[in-house]
Amino acid sequence: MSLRKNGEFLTSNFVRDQASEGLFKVSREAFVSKSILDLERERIFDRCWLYLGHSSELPDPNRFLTREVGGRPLIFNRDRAGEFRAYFNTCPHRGALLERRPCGKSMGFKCFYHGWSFRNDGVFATKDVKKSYPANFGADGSNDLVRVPRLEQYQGFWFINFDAGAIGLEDYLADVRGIIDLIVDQSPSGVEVIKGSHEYSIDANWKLLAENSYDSYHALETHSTYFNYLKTSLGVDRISPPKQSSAFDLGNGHATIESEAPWGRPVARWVPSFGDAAIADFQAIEQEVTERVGVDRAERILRRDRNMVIFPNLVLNDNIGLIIRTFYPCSPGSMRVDSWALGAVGEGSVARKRRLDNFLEFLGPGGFATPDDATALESAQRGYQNAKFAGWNDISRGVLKAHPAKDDEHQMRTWWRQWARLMERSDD
Amino acid sequence: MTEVSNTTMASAGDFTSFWTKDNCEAFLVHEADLLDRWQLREWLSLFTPDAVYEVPITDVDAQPSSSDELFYISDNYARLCARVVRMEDPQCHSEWPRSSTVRMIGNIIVQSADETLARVKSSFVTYRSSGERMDVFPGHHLYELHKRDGDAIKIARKTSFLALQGLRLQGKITIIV
Repeated sequence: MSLRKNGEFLTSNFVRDQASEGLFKVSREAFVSKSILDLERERIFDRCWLYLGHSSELPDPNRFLTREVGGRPLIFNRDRAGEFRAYFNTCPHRGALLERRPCGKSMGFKCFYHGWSFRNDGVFATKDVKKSYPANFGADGSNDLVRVPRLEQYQGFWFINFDAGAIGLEDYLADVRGIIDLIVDQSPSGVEVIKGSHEYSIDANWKLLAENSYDSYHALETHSTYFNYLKTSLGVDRISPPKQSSAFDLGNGHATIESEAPWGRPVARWVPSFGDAAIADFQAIEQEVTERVGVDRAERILRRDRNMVIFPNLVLNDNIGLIIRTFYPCSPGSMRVDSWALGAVGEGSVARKRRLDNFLEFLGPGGFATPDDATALESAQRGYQNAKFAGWNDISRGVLKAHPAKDDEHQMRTWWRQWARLMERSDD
Repeated sequence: MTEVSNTTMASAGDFTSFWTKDNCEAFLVHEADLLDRWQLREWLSLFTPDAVYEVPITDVDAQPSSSDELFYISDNYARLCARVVRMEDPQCHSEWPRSSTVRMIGNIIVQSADETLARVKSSFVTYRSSGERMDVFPGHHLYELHKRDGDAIKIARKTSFLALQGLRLQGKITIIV
C-alpha cells in the first residue's frame, strides 16, 4: 500500500468516503503502519491543540506539574505572579529532565545534574557563572527555559500547540465550546479535577480509542455484564433504548453524541445504588440548576449524557461522571492512556464519594467496562495482522440518515475526514 | 488495641492466642488459594456483609480516602458481589478465557488485635498470565479481620496497595490481586 505518490499522501488509499453510495471504509493499514504513525506525529500531533491540564490542578501561584503531552515531557506551572506557563522539560544546559517530580510548589526549578537553576517564569537564574562563561552569557535569553509555542485555555481547560502559527484555541474548538459550557454549568462554582489519575495502557492503535470513546453501538454487546449489574441494581428486567439519541458534528473533526441514559448521573439522575438518603440532594441540585440556567438548558444539563471527542485525542465525557481522557501512541500497536475525574467545586464528601463510586463501577482499569473496551481494541489490533488480505474497516452505519443516532457512526466519520484532511496537507 | 508480637506468646488473654501470625497466615493462604483456583463464591463468603474492598491508585499518601480521590477499585459489599458475578460470566471479555494466576504472599504482620478484630498486613506478588503476556502485580494488603462464632475469621476490610507507579505495564486490573 503506497503511503505517497509523488511525495503526497494518498487519502484514498486509507479512507474511502463514498457517503452518497452509503459507504465509508477505513484501511486497516492505518492502524499498523509505522510510516502512518510518523506522519501523524508530524501532521496531527504537531499541528493540533492538545490537552495539557486543568486550572484546578494548579490552584495557587508557584504550583507546577509535569506531564508528557504529544510525546514530549512538559512542565505546566504558574509563576510567582500566578500566570500560567508551559515549558519543555529539558534543561538548557545538557538536556536532562529539569523537573522530575510529578507535581509540587516551587519558586524555581533546579536541574540535579549540574545545578543549573531557573525562575518559574523560565528565566535563567544560575549563580556563579561569571568565572567560566562570557560576561553576557544568557543575556539573549538563550539559557532560559524553552516555552511551548502556544498555550491557551477555555473555561479552565488548558491546551498547547507545537505549531506557533496554528489558529487560536477558541476557533479550533468551534462548537466544542458549547458542550464544555454544559459541563461547567452543572455547578454554581464550576468544576475541578479530583485528586488522582488513571495512568494505563492499551495494546492497540491510538485511533481505536478515539472511535471507541463515543461508540454507542457496542455498548449492550461488549458491556452486557455492566448492564446486567445495572438491571439488578435498578430492579428492572430490561434497559429501554435511549431517548433523544443524536450525534453532532462540532466542526474541525470534533463530535459528540447525546441522549438520555439509564445509569446514575451525578448531575442529576438518581438511581437506587445512590441510596434513598440522596434523593433530597438530587432534588436540590435540580432546583438549583433550573433556577440558575432556565428550564430548557437545565433539561439538557440534568437529563442528557454526552460523549465527546475533541480531535485528535481528547475525550470529555459527561455521563456516568465527568471524565477527561487522553491517549498517545507509543507505537502503531500500543498507546498510553491518562484519565481524570472532574467534580463539582464545593460538593461535600458524601456527594463526591457517590460520584467517584459511580465512576469506578464502569470506568478505569478496575471498572466493569473499561477493561472490556481495552480487550476489544486489543482484539482488533490482533485482527489487523491480516490487513494485507482482510484490509478494510466499515464505518458506514447511518451514513444515509439525515439525523444519525448515537449508535450510528457519524461521529467516527467526522473524525476520519479530519484525519484525512490533515494527513494530506503537505508541509508549508 | 494491643500490639501483638510476631512470636506466638499465648500469655495475655484469649485473643492473642487466636490472632497469632500462624493463624492469620493460614487464613490468608486459604484466601489466596481460593483466588488462584477461581473459587470466587467461596472467596466472597470470607467477607462480612458490610465489607469494603479497595485498590487505591499508586501515587497516594499512606491513608488515602476513596471519598476524596480517585481509586482503581472501591467496592462496598454489593458491588463486590456484582464483581464476582461479572467475573464468572463468559461475557466478562477481559477475563475470558480466564487468565492463570498465582498469588505469592508473605511478610505477614499482625499489627494489632483485640477480642474481635485484628489488623493484619501481608506482602504479595500476583502473577497473571493470559496468552503471550504475563503481568506482575506486587504490593501489600491491609486487612481488618473479624472473629466470628466458632472461631471463623471474616474479612471486614481489604485494601490492596500496588507497589507500582501507574499501570502502564499491566494496562488493567481484571483479577482480585
